[in-house]
Amino acid sequence: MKVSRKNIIGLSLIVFSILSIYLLNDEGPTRILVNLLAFAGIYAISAIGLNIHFGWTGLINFGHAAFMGVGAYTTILLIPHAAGREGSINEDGLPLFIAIIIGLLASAIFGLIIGLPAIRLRGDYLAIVTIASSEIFRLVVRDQEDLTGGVYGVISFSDVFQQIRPKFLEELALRLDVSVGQLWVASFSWIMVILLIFVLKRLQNSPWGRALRAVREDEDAVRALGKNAVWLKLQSFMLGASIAGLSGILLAFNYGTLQVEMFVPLLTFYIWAIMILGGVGSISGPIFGSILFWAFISETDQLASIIFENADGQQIAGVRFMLVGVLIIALMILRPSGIMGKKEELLLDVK
Amino acid sequence: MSNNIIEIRNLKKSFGGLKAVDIKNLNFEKNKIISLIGPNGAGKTTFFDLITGFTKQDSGNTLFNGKNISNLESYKISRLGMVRTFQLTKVFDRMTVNENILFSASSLKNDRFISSLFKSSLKSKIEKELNEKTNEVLNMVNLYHMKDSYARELSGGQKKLLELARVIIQKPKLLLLDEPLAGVNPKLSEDILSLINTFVEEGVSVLMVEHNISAVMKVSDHIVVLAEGSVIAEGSSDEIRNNENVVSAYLGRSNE
Repeated sequence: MKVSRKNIIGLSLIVFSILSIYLLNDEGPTRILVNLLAFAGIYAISAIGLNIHFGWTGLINFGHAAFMGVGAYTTILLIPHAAGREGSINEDGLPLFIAIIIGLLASAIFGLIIGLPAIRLRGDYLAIVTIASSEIFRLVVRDQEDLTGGVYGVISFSDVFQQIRPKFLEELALRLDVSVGQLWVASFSWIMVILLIFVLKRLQNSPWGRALRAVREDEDAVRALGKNAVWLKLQSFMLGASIAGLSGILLAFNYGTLQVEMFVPLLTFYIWAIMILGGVGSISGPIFGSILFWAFISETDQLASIIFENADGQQIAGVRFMLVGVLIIALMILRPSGIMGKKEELLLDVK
Repeated sequence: MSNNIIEIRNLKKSFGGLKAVDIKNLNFEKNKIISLIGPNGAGKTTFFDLITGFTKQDSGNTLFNGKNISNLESYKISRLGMVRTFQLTKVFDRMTVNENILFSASSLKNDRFISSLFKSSLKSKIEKELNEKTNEVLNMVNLYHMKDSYARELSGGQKKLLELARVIIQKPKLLLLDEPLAGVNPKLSEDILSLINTFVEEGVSVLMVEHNISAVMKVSDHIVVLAEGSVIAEGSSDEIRNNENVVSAYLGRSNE
């Protein structure tokens, strides 16, 4: 009974989000919807990774953007691309899937490197270390122009990804009048979301998932029972990091360009907002959280013009943050466990 | 081979200028119930933390079954068979009672990430066995009816029972109980004491810290009294009861 009620709330929020796009936009609502689905899918993947850190293991990670960035930069720089001011195309590169796997490994290793010294810290201290590491990563990438293109970023890398898209998408895109490239990114992302949910559902109910939850509840008790809490936390950190890496790679393909400013701390906090909206610790929560979040973000312009007459860009940006804030506050009051979260496993106590 | 499960040699620990533990020589015999008593701040819990590896000693050695465990990490000490509980019960609040015990019973191999990733018949067989074992232990501590409740919904006494169940399923050689009767009603105290007796009959050695003196006097084979970090007396219940030092430092006159 409880489960079905949760699903009804979640599904109706999604339907409401999608409907609002068609109601609020006169021109090209399908195009906006595909754009929304692409971002929602990518951010959902990232939130799924963060959920392993915080929801399952209780690790407060405020440097999630860097895990996404490491994955993205590693993969994109390994496939044919053009980087930097001159932007000459580097035609050599590894096959896409090998590059993606190396990217995911790089994210995991980055997680391990940050984790080794930091993971023994508790709660807020880990948060500080992760947010600092994430800023260090961003600044180093910006500085190493020879390797990463620095502030000029990386471009012309999308071809290898678009080459593998199924042919029927082109027809579909034509019929729906949307960009085929983005349609492919969106479809691929959602396939990944479904795959991840399938795998994580199994992991959560496995002995390993149980051990992570025990770490979240009480590390000392875990140690007293003969389990290596530090290693469990590191494993969780690495898994979540590589899932974030996947999301970063897809984010780059979605933009068609890789800029270091994509990985500012704000991204991390968006992912946190999505995780909280969807329900901390819940596996399918990030999907609902992400769609709802992106519906709010992409409909801000329309909503802002309802609130203000002739709103300018700055006002709209302000309203955007306001709305996300209102959304989270409303949800925390009405459903503190998030859309799909379990009341009994409530992690964020709002009192 | 000595008959001691624990041997302490010159164990020292200070916090700043405060000498928390300073024990020259202390042995615990196998298969006995040994109680550690003493006034608050005598260093009993610190002593537990030291021998279980939760706190690092300044100097000295602890031998467990003849093996020096002074520099081992806490989880490794636990795997050798010395398992502790905590003064403030540490159950896994947002997990069910069943999961609390399953986690403890599950082997390290079973907990592995890779093997958890795939479904196998072996895996489900192991989990089934674990579930059976868990049911057995839950019946023993009378918590079977609470199996699927979240641990945080339990009463204080039930949490103590859950903690006991969680450690005993590992079949430890030495059980360290930090105030197993604190905040527990008299009836439940009796149940817990009889459980402890059952454990000892099955070959477990028990070392406990407890302030419930009548219970301590009744069940202990041997009592060690700590005050200001040092052993001021040890012996049987009668010897302790009649020891002048212990009476003035801890028991008080009314207990005579």
